[in-house]
Amino acid sequence: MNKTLQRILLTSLATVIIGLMIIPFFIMISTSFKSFTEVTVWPPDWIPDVLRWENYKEVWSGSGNFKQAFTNSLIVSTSTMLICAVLGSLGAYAVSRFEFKGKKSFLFIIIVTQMFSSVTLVGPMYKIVRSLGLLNTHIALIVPNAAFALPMTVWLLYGYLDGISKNLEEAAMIDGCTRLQAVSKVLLPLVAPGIITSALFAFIVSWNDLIFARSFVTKTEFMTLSVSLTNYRSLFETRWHEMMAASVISVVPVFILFLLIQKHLVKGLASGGVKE
Amino acid sequence: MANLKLENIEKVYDGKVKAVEDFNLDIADKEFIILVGPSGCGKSTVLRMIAGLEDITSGSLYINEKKVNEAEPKDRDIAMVFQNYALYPHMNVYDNMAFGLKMRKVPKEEINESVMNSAKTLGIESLLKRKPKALSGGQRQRVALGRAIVRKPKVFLMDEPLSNLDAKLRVQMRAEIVKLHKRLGTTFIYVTHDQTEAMTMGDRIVVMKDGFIQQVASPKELYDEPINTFVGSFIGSPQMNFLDAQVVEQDNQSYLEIDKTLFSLSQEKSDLLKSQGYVDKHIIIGVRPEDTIVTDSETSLSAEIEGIENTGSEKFLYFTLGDREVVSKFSCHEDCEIGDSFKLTLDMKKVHYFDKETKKRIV
Repeated sequence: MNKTLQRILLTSLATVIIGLMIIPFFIMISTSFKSFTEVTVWPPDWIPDVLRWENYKEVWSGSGNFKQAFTNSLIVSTSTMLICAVLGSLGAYAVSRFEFKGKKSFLFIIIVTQMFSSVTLVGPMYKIVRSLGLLNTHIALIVPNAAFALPMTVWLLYGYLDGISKNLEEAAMIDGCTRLQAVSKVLLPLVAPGIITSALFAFIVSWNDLIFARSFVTKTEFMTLSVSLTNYRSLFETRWHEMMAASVISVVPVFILFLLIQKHLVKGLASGGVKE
Repeated sequence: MANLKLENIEKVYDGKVKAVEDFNLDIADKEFIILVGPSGCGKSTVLRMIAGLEDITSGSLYINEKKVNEAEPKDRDIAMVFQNYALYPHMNVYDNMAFGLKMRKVPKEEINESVMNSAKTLGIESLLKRKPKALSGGQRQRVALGRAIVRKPKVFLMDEPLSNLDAKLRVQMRAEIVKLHKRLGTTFIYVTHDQTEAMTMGDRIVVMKDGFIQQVASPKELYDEPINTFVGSFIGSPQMNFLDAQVVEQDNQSYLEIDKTLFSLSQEKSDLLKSQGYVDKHIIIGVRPEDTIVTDSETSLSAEIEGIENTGSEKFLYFTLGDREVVSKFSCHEDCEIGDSFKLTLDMKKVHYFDKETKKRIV
């Protein structure tokens, strides 16, 4: 009896929490199908009578340069993701497999970097980017974003690699592999879920970045999605319906990525990597 | 088929921590050699240096008269079984076993035949399609052995391969590994901290401590003639008893005074101790638990039983003599209880004599 009551309570609590988390999304989607006047109606219409798909069309091919921003974001985030996955794996491998002076402080510094928000770094970074003549380029966003996400990717992958026994690579080396082959044939398949997780992390960090995008890029042709989302506000009106439609579109790539890889993530967690 | 020669091998970590020092050993072809010692004695380091997983700081390692200090692990033609098995988790048993052959570009049919033969030898044919995580500890152990024997290497290296198994399985696998060694006729180098494994499996045993070889000998020789008190205490279970004794001379006859009791020495031992100047000096004597005898005689040590361990076939009785704890082994039919008093004497023919300062055997 007590257990049933406990379960009812827990389930209702979970429902409330999930409801609270879903409501903003629901408002976003519902608003994206409304007209400008419908948005301001009180009490609000949760599900609009007519679904106005033209909001999406307007956003995608309208005057806001949204398509360009979307492409820019894809370029910047994918590059950041690739850089972080490659450099992060190499860095994490070195920290996990080799002994060197200052290894502990290196790991400590990695954690410390996470304490600074990008706002505190944007000033000095602006100076660097400007003096390198990189303002208004994709690189101006890729490098800072990668630099910002890399410590976390190294840390994540370090945890992953450290959980995999060194003996596996050694066994492979005795079995006839070079170190590189041992890594590619034995280690890589085992850390793949970890690499995917950290790559996704880097992608999202870069995709959501507003500070760097706002600071290092001023020309519309290099603007990213996060910046373009702020463009629906003007002096006289905020076009909520279009802004929400644009927001929905901006969530889609991340959503698809999650769908594609969640199977691997769950598999990685379920198999527990390597158990000794 | 391989003989190994380790010459003045030394391993230093970070330029200061000496893990292995002055290691010299010749290993004959087809020999089953065991490296044994407490943890941190350097035995695994030696094995890993032979495998090529650890650099040799100084000294030379020869396999079949060829110096291999700089050779990659893959070029040494060795196989290794790890304590945690190190099976590739993403491959099934067949692929785990075939991996080494695939890397060496052996034709497919040949790989298949080798894997099947080895699987049959080890009784794991029914497991070939399974992933390691679906296997029990004993099965994983067999697969790890299988992965090693498939390749028909020159030398087998085993790093505490049985320590993750339960006691019963360990005894069973011990016998199987010995059989495997006989059948394959390959050189085996086996690392363990378990003296029972060492005594039951090896042709020769290398006892190590603090990075140094203490003694290299056959199991029998190690047991009968330990070179110092460390080897004496490490080999044998329960361990050898050590007692303080003084060599005394009365009326031209030599005695050993232990706990105020005089035990007469044989002529041979007496001459030995005399010739080395131990008369009137204190020494340490070592007595194995089975070499203590219950007696009614006058020349005996009396002690009170403080603890009894009954293993079924025999009893181990614990006493205190002077400030040393002593274990005696008796067959089980003797009734005794904690608190009972006993008279003990020593089988003087089997007593070991050690120098009090150097702890070395007096020979």
